[in-house]
Amino acid sequence: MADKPMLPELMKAHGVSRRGFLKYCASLTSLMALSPAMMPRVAHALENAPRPSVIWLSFQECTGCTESITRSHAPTIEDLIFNAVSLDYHHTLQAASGHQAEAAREKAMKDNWGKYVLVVDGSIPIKNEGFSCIAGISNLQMLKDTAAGAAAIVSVGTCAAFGGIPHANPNPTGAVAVSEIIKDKPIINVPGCPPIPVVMTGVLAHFLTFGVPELDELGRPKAFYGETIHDRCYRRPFYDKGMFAEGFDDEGAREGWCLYKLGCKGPTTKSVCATLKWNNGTSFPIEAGHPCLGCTEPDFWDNGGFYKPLSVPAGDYRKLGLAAVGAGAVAGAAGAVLARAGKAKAAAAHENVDAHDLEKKS
Amino acid sequence: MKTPDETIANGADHMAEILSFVGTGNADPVLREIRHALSQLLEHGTESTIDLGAIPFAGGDERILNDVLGDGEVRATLTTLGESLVQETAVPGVWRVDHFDEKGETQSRFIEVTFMPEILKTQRQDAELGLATLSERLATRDEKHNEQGDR
Amino acid sequence: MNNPNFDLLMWARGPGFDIALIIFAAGIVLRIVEIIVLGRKKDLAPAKGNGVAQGIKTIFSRSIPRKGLVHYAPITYIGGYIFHLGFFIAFFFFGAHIVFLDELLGFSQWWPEAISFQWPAFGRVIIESAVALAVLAMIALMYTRLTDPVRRALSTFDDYLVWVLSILPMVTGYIAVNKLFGDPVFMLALHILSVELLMIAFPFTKLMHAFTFVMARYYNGSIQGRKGAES
Repeated sequence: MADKPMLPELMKAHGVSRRGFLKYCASLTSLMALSPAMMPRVAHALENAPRPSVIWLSFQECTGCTESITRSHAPTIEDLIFNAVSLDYHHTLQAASGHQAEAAREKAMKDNWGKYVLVVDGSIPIKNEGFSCIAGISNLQMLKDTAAGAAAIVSVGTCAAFGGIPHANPNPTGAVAVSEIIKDKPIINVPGCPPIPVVMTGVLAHFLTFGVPELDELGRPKAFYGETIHDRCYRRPFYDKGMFAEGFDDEGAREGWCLYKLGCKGPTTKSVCATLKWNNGTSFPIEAGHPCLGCTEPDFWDNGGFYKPLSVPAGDYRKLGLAAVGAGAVAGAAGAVLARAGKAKAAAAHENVDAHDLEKKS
Repeated sequence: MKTPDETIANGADHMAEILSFVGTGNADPVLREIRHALSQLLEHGTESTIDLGAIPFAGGDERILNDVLGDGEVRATLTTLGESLVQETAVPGVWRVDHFDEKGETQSRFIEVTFMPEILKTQRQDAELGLATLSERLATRDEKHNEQGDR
Repeated sequence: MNNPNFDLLMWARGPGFDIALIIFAAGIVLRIVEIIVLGRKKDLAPAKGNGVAQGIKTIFSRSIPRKGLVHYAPITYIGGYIFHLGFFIAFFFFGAHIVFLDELLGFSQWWPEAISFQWPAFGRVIIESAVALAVLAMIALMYTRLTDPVRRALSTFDDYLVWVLSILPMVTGYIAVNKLFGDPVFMLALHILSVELLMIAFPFTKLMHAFTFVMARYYNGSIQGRKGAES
């Protein structure tokens, strides 16, 4: 990879000063949720780490993740991180297509065997491999082949990380997450539908500088998925005061009260939406007046409905409840009638007995 | 009578005004941390940096922080990869460093407790480049001078 | 990939709740219908007072302790009040519970225009103080139950079971909301499951008093009222 210039040289060539590099490192350190004391180490790592080759595979997905990561305009931190890697294959972004594109992928794999980073968005169908193919190669096959030579895999988006929307009930394609297929490589899950662009790039940056970040039990970097949205939500004081919007156009909604009753999944959803926010820090769904859907959690599509509050039963219990009331009433009445009949029978069978009768019997 | 548009605009202002007073209660711990850092700077010369992006900070907290720290004597603007604002607060030794990208969006915000923020100093690599540039420019001048002299 | 904690929560909110609701609803209706259909033996004696009026009066008057009894058993009375009030406040005035009750009983579905039918929620300070006091009261009540030889002798398995089932939702709820420890999703699932256990035990234990106390008090009051006696 000697032909690929290091990031500082690249920046120098673009007329960016050392100060600019320091500023970049400071912002990057903050973005990765590292202590500012780590800044010199980030700078050192960026100065010395070779630019790794990145192969980006898109399977059963909507391109939302790629849209998200390319949505920020030049030259933001995101772009600079992309300058720090060599994106060798991304079939949505690259000019080549078909067999030509596949040749580029195979070349990148061969040149960087064991060292490249594999980024995956989209889930993989396993009910029938043929459900989703690229250049005649099934997603399953391409993932297995490409993962074999990867240093690490980054599963970008909820589909790649957890199966996502293709995996939603009834899952016609048998869609699964990357981690269901690849078991022998470090996998970093970066869920979200889509993930926040700076989270994707922050994870890549962390991988470039310090390797695989610390992950939670679902394989998500703790720096970005360590706390619930509810805990960091600016509307949290309203939850604590018991002030809730009851509809999307009532007084509470206009005053910016808590959206719990409208189905907000903030309390069970781990993500940094409330602090990093979206669209270059402009806002996030709750700030825009919509409850959190919980898109960074597995099966978010099937977790009881977007507009059902968390404390509300998720099933179709109403009919069951009414049936139970009916059955209870019938059983109760029947029990009582039986008891009455028993009582009447006992009364009918009643004989007057005096002491003489008892003596006779014994 | 207000037009509906005015009412909405006023409502939004009103909301922004209210939010600027909503705090998370994090301003006071941060201020105490700054005081501790400043005493460490004076006793042992240890510099420290606090990442304001790592702490939940609402409008109200920002307000308290600005009220307590105030504006100091130095205010510098860097122009590299967008602007950066480096300001000393009215508490000498405590600096605000805010980095913005080229569209003016905030990238990161720090409190630095130091005698001189690192980013204000000229970096050695930049100075080396500066020397080269200056030499080159002088060489160009000499060339021009010689050309003129020949004529 | 699944999140086992979330799967547990979804089971608690789905099939778990369905099962608990069926047993709870059917059990309670069964017992109440049975009591009503069984009926009472006709009182053939001429009435000396108004049984209905005194029956209704007794429903409320029995909520006030008799003179002197508070001094005789202070923990039982005061602890009992604190527990019942605390439980009532937490159950009916916590925002998440209000929306649950509304969904379950369908106020906003029957009258969609009356979506603001929901009563206002209390703030965190009131709810959590109520829960903390209720839990402390329950601990005090259990202490007297265990230390007083008479009460101890009178206690049955049912009493201890109901105590555990009543305190669990309050403790798990407090932990889940305050994220004291454990995964918040898991703690929320535990909270819902503990409520479901309470619902299942409800018709078959003394918990039934929450529904039958009205009937029982009316029954006692009206008997006495008919006789012209106090109740």
